Amino acid sequence: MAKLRLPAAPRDPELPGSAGAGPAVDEYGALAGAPPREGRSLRGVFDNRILPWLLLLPAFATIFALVLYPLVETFWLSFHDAGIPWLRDGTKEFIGVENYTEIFTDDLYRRVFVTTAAFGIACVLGTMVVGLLVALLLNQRFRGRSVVAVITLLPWAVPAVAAGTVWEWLFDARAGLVNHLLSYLPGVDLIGFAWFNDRWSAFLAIGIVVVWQSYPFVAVSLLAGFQAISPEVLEAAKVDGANAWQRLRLVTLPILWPLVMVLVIISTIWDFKIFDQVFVMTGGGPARSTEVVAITTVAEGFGRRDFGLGAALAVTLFLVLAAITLFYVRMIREETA
Amino acid sequence: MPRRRLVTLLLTLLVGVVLSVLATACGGDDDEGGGEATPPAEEGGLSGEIDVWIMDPGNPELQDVINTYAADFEAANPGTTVNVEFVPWDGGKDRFLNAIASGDVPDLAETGTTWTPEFAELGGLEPVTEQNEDWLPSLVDAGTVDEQLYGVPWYAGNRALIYRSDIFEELGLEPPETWDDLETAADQIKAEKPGVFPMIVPGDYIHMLLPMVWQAGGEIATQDGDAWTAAVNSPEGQQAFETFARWHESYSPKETLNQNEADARVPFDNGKAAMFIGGPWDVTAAKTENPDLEDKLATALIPEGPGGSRDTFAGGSHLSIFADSDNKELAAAFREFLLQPEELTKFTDQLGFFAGTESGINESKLLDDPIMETFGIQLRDHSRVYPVTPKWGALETDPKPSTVALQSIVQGTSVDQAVEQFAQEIEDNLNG
Repeated sequence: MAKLRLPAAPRDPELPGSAGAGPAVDEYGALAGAPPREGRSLRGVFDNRILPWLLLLPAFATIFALVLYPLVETFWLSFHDAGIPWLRDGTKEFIGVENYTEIFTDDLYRRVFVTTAAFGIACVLGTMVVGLLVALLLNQRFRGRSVVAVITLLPWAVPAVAAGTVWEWLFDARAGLVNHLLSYLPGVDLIGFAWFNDRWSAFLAIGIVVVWQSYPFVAVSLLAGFQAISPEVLEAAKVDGANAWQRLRLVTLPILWPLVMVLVIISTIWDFKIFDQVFVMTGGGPARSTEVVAITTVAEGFGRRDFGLGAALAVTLFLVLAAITLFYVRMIREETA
Repeated sequence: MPRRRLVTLLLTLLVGVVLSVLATACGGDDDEGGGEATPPAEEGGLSGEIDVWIMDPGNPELQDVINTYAADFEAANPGTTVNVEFVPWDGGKDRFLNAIASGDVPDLAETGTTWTPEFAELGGLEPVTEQNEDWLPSLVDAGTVDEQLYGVPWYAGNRALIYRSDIFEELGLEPPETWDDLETAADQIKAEKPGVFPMIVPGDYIHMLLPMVWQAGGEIATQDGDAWTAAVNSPEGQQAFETFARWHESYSPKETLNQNEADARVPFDNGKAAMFIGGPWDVTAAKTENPDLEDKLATALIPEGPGGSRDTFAGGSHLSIFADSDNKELAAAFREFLLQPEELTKFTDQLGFFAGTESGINESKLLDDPIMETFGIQLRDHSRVYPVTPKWGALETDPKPSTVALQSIVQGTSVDQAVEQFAQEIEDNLNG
């Protein structure tokens, strides 16, 4: 966490209003009725030093209770062997890095991390591409644009579990719309094809749902970015002979690069810790082949009640995401510097 | 100084909001606690309130019977309240484990026989102090940890072969006596009845899969002192897994690979499948879901495997009082009420279970019904239990190791390797 600096109270007597003639304005911009000297005394100290902290206290307390404490507790737990007795009376056994050794040596867990990374990257790419295309579409003027805009944004409003359930039925082997529609294609007969039996087809189906749910956010953000670019810049590029693709690649996207990076970071975090859609559609099966880290964490932690291993999985995912975020943030800084 | 006042006002508001949120949160807790706390019982009479959890295999009739029990009991004991909650078997164990861990438990609950030892070892269940000759010995054994019983036998439930008598008659088939017969019949159905799946074989169905190890002549695990040794990784065990996987691939809808028996049953209920290994509750559910099946279902003993055995898993349930209950007296009284033979048979006859007491079995009219009689014979002559240990429960927790092994075979892992991995899981879990 970045070091928090409180804005220093202006002390320079040269600053307008802080001394001399005219109405005195204190650091909150309020008119100080009392002479400035008095304001610097006891009440000044309270206003400058104590009040800001008091005002920040609720936020600090909330962050501590909801973020910091659970984080530290999970980290500490990941070095223990803890089962149901831990929940009942707190009994746990310190085992050092054993949980982590298991994660990095066990084929299943290693595979789960690789799967999560590959699936996450694919989903981020899909989301960015679809989001960009939709944003470009909505950036054009055409009749019924607002209707199209509302419709394309709707998936965002659907809860992940509901979306998973609906799409599970759409992908149903026999009753599903997807198989029936695809079977209209010449030479294709998919009736009875079970999408969720094989990890590739299962992840393809889940990936479609994930992208379907996350592109609207990217599209809206990019659209806002497009509209903030002054038309003169694009006009100038046009005059210089740049075609539409060149304008997008060489002008629009470079201008919006920090925004794109932020969207990539957010999408990466979302898609790496994906849970709901996978849980609803495959539950991680068959044979644990469609498990992603979040599913495995729940299966080990809350299913088999190996809370220590579950915590270690969660911490590992946290560290991976933190590393990715740091990398991106550094990239943005270098780009913009 | 309007700004300063504004700040003061905001701060006051903030403190007020925080305090009221805290008060509401605490108040909420109090209310909940108050609802569960029961006034002290009057002398000689029962009073107060209990929460009762009953497992629900997806049968509307079951809920009717249980709700009637609660109403009758409340009528006979004014001043008492019995809150019944129905818990689906799928994921049901998690509910219990979470309840035990948090202390927010039901007062009385139905606990599956393979769960009772695990809950007891966690300290979740109140020991049963009385003894009763009437209780079925196998169910008493299943609920005993270190010679202490933790649940009173309620009913026994087991599976047999359920098949479509009309399809078998039409094709001139006899109910299969052996695995080979079953394959012959299934192949013929597949060839002559397009649109009908010969058999529902779900990838996630432990109580069909593991008994096939017994039928093949193998064992799941053997005990020597305190140590368990896996035995599924024998030629018999491998044959069971290999056969199950083959049946799944040849006879069952593809999508049943990742389904449990409750989900996979749907095509059978819809009249789109000819055979299903299931319990009496599956027969009643199929008839309820699809009245067309009323006179088209028949049952047979589980076909005999190459090991000369037809054994299935003798399941069932206990009625257990929870250690953290705050009205054990009322819970015990309601349990006693449920176990009276004339009350017990209302439940067992309706659902097709067998009572967990000898008097209940004698009172029952189930054995007069040929469909139900099969389950009785299967239970009496061809059933056994999984290793009785509190650790067994881990093997029935999702993702179940046996399910993972079976599914990975269907996905292409060698039988040898998959079964070996399952054996390893058995030893890790039972000795862990």
